[in-house]
Amino acid sequence: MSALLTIRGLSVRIGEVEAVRGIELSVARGETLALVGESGSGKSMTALAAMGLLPRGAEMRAEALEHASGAPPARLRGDRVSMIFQEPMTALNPVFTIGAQLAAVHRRHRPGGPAAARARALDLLARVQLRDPKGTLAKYPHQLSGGQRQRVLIAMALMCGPDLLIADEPTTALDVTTQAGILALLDGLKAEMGLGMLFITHDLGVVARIADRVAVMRQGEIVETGTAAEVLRRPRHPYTAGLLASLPRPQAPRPPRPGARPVLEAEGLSRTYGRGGFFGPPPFRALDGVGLRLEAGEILGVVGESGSGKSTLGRILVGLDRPDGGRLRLAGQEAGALDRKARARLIQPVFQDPFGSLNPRWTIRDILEFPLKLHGRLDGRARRARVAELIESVGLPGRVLAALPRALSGGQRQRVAIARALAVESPILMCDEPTSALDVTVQAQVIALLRGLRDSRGLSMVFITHDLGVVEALCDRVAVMQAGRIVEEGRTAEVMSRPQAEHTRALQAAVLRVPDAALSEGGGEVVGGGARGRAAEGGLLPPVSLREPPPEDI
Amino acid sequence: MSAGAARRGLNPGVAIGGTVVAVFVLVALFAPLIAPHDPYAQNLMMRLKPPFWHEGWDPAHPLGTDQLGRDYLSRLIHGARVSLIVGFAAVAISAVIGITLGVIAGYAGGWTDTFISAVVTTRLSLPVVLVALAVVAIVGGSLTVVVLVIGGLLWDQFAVVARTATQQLRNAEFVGAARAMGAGHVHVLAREILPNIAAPLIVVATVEIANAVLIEAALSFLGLGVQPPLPSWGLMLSEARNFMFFNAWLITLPGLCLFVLVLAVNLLGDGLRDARGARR
Repeated sequence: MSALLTIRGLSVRIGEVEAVRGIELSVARGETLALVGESGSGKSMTALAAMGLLPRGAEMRAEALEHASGAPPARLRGDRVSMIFQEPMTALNPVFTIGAQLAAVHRRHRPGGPAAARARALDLLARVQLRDPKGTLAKYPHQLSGGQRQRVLIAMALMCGPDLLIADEPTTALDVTTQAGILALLDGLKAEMGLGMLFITHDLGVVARIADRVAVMRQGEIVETGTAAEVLRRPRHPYTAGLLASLPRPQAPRPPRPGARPVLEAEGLSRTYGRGGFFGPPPFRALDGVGLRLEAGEILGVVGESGSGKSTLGRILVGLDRPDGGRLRLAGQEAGALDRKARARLIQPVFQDPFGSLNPRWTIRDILEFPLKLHGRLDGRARRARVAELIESVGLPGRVLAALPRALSGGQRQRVAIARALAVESPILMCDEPTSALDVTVQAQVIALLRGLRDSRGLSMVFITHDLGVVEALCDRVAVMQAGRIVEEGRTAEVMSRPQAEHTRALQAAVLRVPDAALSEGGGEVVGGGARGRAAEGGLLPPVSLREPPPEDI
Repeated sequence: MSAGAARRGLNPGVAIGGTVVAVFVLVALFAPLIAPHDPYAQNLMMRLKPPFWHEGWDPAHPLGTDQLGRDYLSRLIHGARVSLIVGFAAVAISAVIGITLGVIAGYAGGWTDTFISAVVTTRLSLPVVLVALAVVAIVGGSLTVVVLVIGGLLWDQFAVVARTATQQLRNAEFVGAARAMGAGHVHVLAREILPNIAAPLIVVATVEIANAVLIEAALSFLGLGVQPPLPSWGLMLSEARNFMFFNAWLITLPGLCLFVLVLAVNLLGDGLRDARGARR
């Protein structure tokens, strides 16, 4: 059987940069090919080129770019070839109903008019397992959850009965449990309809779950192709091996240390948004009696899905939001009684978004000097020395100090954010998803850095995340949150091996694991960074994945 | 901002508009050096001399003279001063009022926002020219009064834009990081938020400068703005009304100056807006 999609010698130029070069790949009927790579590797550009959707200014050349029918896939777009995007909110038009948007696709490519389109839409909404297909037709995108919207988009992609589906990170914006559902759905549909799927992702767990074959991309080229089992178990290219080795893996549990003093104690923290009343929306109880205890030198993971209240908890801990009820003690002092600066010297935040957490108008030096000036205990010279020391302690070269944040990569910015949090020498860090916007190799470095900081400086951390894999790699204890409450709490190894709460089990079942064989060949435990927190030195990871990309503008 | 845009390939609006505005500013700054005559010196023997493209023009007065025999070129050059002083000073006042209100409303939210928004809405419901006319009619016209009145009326766009832009940044993580570091509200507003909302406000400022120049001309034309003998383009238009059928240049020249200045400022504003959009 010939391939559904054949690409040979594809390259894409954007201005001076050759974003994609010499791509060769094919997708057969009933097969899922995963295109894996880190941000900037050219994987999305390849898919867009295949669909004829390249942004303006991008130039494409290809020896062959064919659908099985002989036509270029761009001509069959929306008809026999369709695409699913990452962000289910922006991919749907907010002012039209789901029914109207589904029907529009059908009426453009197929005969039968509105009645046929509606029948087809109802059928597909049922096939993508939406509970109330008829009701959904009349709804607007904002009335659906993220997972439901992604199901609608899948239905839309299937409206004309395509044989090739191109999916660009379709589950990246979703919660883990929702992601598991969508992946199962896509896998089922592929088998049922004999679809060929080109699945773009950065997540090796997703690859292990869904792919038949894998192509690994790096810097615009495919470095390795093979069946999923082969590539994940016996990677041939060092880059693939590096990706696999960067996956977070369970850390040997540290023995409990009896008698450690608590640095953070919370009791019955509650927070309700909105007051309800006659006009407003009903009040939303984001936190409902949450209690926590964090000991010195301990990392406590707080896990939950979006809307579980974990970020509200984080904002309350660092004083960006006030609880309606409950008590919070930092280093033995009542948090409410502390003034802002005294509190800042006890707990500092590291946020998720490496692009949003640094003021784009300030240089890195300004950003790091600001807390020192504000807490004003150093003169000019001592301050400069301290800034140099801070930037070194997060493993960045001193020359980045003169740069603006936009010249730095995501991982570098996150290191700067960590350095800023260290500047006032607070004993506690509140990390809100600090690694979830990062590539897997960069995530491994940041995790190693945080672990090193705990070991060398005895820092305590509250680590908020949705990723149980990261929890296992970093946290001594874990608290699982659902609907504003902590449903389970305990030592990481115990919670992971014997989850008690139903929600913990659901979260755990949704974690996508890469077969263990790959991990054991990766070289054992990733050991935390050394005294200075320099990430994963010592050759555990191949050098390609270790080096920070050079800052662009420095 | 404009320097940044220029480096990334010169936007034609910024280039043309910027150059013309710069020329006007230079002329206004060095008016006493450039102007060939004293703009106030009357010479009734030399009344209503035509400009150089008419027959019988006087080489000493290339753009002719007005009904009191004052050199028209010199009066136009000094008129640029009045227009630009009103434009920049009035907009500086309204920028301070509008940005302060807008940033506070956007940052504080809640009742503060409701109250300030009500004030902005009230201001929007007042017709600018009519209120300016009324105030000047009561207080009496002078350059200072005109600047204060226009400055006190044109702040609404600043407030609206600053409020929206601040709302978008209020929950930015770098603002949270500064607060968690112990920074006060004043620091957050002045150092974290203001530099990041400056670009759209600069665009508003250009639009309002053009607006202020036109309002000053209108007030002066109606005799309620700058008082004679100060040379203002609007006042010159007004004084020329009686002569416009026989000495049309008396109307055409100041009108042309106003038109070119306002067009250039608007071009500059549009160009800055586009350059900013391209950088996003």
